[in-house]
Amino acid sequence: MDEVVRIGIAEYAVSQKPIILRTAGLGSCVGVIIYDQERGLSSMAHVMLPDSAISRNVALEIGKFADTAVVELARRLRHSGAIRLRAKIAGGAQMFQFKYEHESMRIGERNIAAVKLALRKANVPLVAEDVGGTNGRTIEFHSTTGRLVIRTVNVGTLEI
Amino acid sequence: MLNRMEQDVFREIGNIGAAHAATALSTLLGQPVEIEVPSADLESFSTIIERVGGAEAYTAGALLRFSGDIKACLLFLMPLEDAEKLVAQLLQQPFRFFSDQHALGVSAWEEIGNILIGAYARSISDWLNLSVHVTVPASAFDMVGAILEVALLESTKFGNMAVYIDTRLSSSGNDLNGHLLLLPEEGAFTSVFERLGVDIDG
Repeated sequence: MDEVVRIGIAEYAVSQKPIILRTAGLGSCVGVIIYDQERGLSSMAHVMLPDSAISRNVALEIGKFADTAVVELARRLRHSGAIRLRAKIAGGAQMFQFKYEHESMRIGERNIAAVKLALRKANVPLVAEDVGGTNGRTIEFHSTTGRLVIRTVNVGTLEI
Repeated sequence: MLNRMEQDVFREIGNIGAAHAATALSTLLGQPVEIEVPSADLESFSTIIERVGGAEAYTAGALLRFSGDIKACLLFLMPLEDAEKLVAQLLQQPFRFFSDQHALGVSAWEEIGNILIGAYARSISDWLNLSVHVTVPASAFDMVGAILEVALLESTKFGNMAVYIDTRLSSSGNDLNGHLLLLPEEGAFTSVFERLGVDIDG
């Protein structure tokens, strides 16, 4: 069994060895996995918001925003010798069905769109996704197989 | 870290708000409800999530927002089983979420959130003579990390940290435990500190 690295909300990790990357309790946040399976390189971020423009100290919050997280993961993997990067994403749910209008209402959708845009800009093909809906997700990426296991408390487990 | 004065003010808000919410809950239950001394501080997202049971704890959440003189996000959180017991007691029939009674239970749960957080808001606005409005409740029944995220979204001032006021509620008679969590929006308490004559840079 490979070592499990836990990634907290708004955090990220990059690995050059066989590993299991795990992040728990994704709601409107999006879990982004970028990897090069042939070269054993993998990374994951727990993205909370679409755009780092609102940040006052981006250096402290790289993993928090779709734009900065994707750029950083791709940059670090390529720096370590990645050639054929692929991405998988999961999350972006709407946890609360609000009866009133509020900006955070559609944050899940906006996160998904922002992550996809950032992946396109970084030239990383998206090969699998499990996004949207109304359920929280815990995800586990197995770097040796490239499998992403997605667990929910209300609708069971899925693998992409 | 918050300074001592800020912590004291936030703890007092937690005390007064939660005491009134606990009284409201106690009336609903017909049982005494105890509150713990509130915690109030600036903490990392991970620490806040740990405090309420860890990201994957199966939790019922009711969320309301304060608007007006104080802008904040309020969450009433209970382990799912405890929330089921509480709802069952109010409905006076056995109850499980995601059963065919789900919609009925959700309405009851949101009403509980409304009553508790409404009491919280009223006591604070009376104490400080401020105008605090409360939105209609929304609810979620899922992993607590996923529920809490929405309340952490507005915290961007201190990196991956947020100011929170947390009060634990429990009713030993019914073996129920819950959290009342207040997460202020940035600058939301400026008017409070002004009213109390607290120098926030001091």
